[in-house]
Amino acid sequence: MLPKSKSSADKEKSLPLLQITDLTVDFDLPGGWVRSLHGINLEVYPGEILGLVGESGCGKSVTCMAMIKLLGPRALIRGQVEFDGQDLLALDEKALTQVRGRDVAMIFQDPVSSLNPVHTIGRQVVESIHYNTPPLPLNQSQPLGEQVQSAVEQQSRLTGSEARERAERLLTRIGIPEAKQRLQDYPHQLSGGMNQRAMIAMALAGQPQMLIADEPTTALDVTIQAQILELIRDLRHEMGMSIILVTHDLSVVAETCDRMAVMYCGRIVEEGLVQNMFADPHHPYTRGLLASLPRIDQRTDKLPTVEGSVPAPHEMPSGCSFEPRCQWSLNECRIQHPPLISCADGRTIACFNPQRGAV
Amino acid sequence: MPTRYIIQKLLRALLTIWIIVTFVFIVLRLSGDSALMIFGPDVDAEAIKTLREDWGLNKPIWQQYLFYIEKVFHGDLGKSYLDGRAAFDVVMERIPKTLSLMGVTAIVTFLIGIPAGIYSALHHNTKTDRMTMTMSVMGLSIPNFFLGVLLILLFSVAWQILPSAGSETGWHYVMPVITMATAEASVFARFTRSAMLEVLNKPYIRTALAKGVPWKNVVREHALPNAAIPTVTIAGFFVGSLIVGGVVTENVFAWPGVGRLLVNAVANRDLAVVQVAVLLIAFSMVATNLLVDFAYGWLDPRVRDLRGEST
Amino acid sequence: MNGQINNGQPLLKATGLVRHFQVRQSKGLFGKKAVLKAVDDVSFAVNRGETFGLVGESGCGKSTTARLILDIDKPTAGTVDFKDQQISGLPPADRRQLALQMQYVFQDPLGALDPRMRIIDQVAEPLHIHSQASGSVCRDKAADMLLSLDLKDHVFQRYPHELSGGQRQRVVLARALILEPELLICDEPISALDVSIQAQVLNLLTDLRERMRLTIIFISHDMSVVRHTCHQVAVMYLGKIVELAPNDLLFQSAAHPYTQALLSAVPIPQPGLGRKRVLLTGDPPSPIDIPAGCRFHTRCRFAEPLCSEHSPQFKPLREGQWVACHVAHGDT
Repeated sequence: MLPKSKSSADKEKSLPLLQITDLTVDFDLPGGWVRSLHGINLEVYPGEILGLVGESGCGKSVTCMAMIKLLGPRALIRGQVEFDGQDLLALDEKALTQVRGRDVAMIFQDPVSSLNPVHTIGRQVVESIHYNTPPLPLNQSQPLGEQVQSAVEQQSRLTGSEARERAERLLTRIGIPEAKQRLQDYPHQLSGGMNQRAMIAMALAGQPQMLIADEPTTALDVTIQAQILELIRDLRHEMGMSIILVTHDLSVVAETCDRMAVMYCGRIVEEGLVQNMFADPHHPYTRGLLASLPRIDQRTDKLPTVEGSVPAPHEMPSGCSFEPRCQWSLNECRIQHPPLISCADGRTIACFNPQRGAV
Repeated sequence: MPTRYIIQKLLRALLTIWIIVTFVFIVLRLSGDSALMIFGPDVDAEAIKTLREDWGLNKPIWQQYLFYIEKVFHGDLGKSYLDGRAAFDVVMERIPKTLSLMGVTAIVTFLIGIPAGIYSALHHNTKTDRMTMTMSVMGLSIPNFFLGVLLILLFSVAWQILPSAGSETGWHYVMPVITMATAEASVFARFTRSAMLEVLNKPYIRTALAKGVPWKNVVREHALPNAAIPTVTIAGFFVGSLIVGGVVTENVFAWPGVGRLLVNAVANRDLAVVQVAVLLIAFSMVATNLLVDFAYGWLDPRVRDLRGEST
Repeated sequence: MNGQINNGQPLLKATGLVRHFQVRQSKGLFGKKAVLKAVDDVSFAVNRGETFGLVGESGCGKSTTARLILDIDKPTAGTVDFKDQQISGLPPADRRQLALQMQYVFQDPLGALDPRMRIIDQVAEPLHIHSQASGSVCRDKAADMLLSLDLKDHVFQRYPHELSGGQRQRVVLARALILEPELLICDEPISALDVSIQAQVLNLLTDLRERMRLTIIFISHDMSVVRHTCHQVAVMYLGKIVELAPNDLLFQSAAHPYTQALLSAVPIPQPGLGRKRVLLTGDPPSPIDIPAGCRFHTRCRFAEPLCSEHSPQFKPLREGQWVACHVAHGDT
């Protein structure tokens, strides 16, 4: 059961858990600086699943990694990432390390290569537990000294067998059979689906408020994908986590997400409730993508297509980056980039000539 | 590590050793009449005949081979004609000196080369990185005999602060070790750097960071163990080049080790000693490779699981 | 475009194809010998002018089957007949003839192209090798081919790494089609492409099939794409075909429990559909260790005692639909 959809009025009442403002990312590459993200604005509310959709090079993975500064020294990140009241980009590395895994967790594509091949699964899960044990809440009535003592005890008790026990419980909960045996296995001995479950278990060790899933099922078979997505949905219900699901597969978004944001060439072009956007997409790119999807419940002779292809970073058109492929482009579109503006039904769109109606 | 893996490698090592022993036998017999080679053509026939009988050189080849294998098993590898004692003893008494030189060189190499490589990788593309790499290129380009002689000219002849021959004191170690370690440390620096760089770009490093593991811990527990795997490969080559470098260096610095002995023995046709030295070098290489194989199995769990397809 | 196209003799027939690999498992001192049954008795017929879909998840054996059909790999047993002629064991001259009639396109367009050859030369090369025509005639034909695939002439002198994914795949297609083959085998031809390009290439394939009177064997794991492109579909699981049917019949009334589970797992781009999902538990068994009886019975929600004892026969359920399942045939 999906939670009730949020109308714009509802949205004003509840505050977003994550608020990204004007996020810009530039990379220092051998050929010079290249801009990868052009001022992203995005919100994620508590308990919702947001789909971040786009094709290769659109910046969806960069957005996620920029949030928790995983892009390495060659990236220049500017803007604000407000998470639960604090700007993550303003934190120093030590504080950010605390946030990672504990408040915001991230899982990646291709689980087999995203796990250390020379450590057992058990060791990697225990590592997550070790670094992300949530702090004990402060009890007002107990003396501070005692609480510190028990926190330390909990921490030290968590080494060795206690931690392994917790790891085993975590793996079982995630749906890995014979968890005790799996703790001794190495990633290359398990299937892609099992490895992805293990990665999810590691991500959950700290009971984070938000999970970023970067194409978690792209490398997996469709029946395994269904299992993993079901797992992710269950986790959202059980733990009330917010989830950012990054994918290129719109069908997955339709079945899993509450809201979605479509990205193209480093910008968000349209964002809103999944129901609304599928029923009545405004942006020509969104329309083109939806129309060109083959479906197993329908059959057409020829699929409508989006002409042309995604421009390379050094070949970006001036004006709207989608304009060369757009069948509704106006003169305006060649001159400047359309700003992201809000619409009546709560969605935002960046287009000078938005369309209406079903695809 | 599974027993299967260990036993397989041991069996392979034993097989290699047997092949080497046979090979040495063949080469020695093939290189002409040993007796003539030792004494030269103008010695009287009587002496040669005695020598031949002594060494069983007048028997059919397969008998000589069995005879030879038996002797090898018993550690009897002939007599050094220069010295008069068993060749085995002559070589063995020189080993400590060679080992100590190699040992100190190895320590210096690891202590300088590997950290330099790791540091360069962690500070990729900075001035320090570029400087270290330039120095390492220079280091491995200089031939060790050239460097050795240069050092002697500078420190022994011109400034007279270091001894240039022998191995009595600690100061005697300085120049030979510098001579050998310069190239070795350079190689390790470059190799470790590229192994680290490759590992640091892998997805699992990003996963570890995303889990909230601090950078230092990521480097120590995730990057280094994985970077160690390819580095172990060159450990095998390292021992080989220590041996080769050792031979040259020992001769430049008159270091009383096996290398010097070997050169001397070859020049004087002291066959038994040459044979022992060659066998010794071969065994060391086999042992080193065995250790490298074990190290692989210990470091990389993927290697322990057998794979293999055939149609 | 409904049902199957049946124009008499099938263009390609696979009969009882088997491909086993000898592998060593990590057990005991020297490892235990085991057999990996990648393809285990696969038979099907492809009619002229149709697109035949071979679907399944990873490890089902569809790519191995492709290699057997193309004679890139030798079957452990079974035969492949192209135009009623067996293709294995052909003398070299006949094999060259075969290459003219059967071409293929595989998944990774960048890997399939020589990084050091210009586009126009790569497309012209097959023609150059197989005909007596001069270099410039070949290049002209190559240019025509590329233009007909919507590639502009400014691309001709470029190198593969300078092209986009969609362009590269068109180049690979051009190179495959320049010899005007009768059969084109595509193994995941669009999986590596961006979503907005996939539709372009799919339309292109349909276009080419009509224009050049091609027969296509389309191998994919993407059921939505197969639904759109193929006339007939064969579903593979652990080396066997479990169901074979015309497109509409398969997608609207799949008979095999695996097909049903597979179809229900495929997401549909329509929110709020509230589909009933058949969720398979766990991972598929390893092809080294195939379950006794019906190989799907360990994950099948309809499994009966018979299913773990006897392997079901692959036989027709109704007109055009073949299934290997005891329950579907009502044999239990």
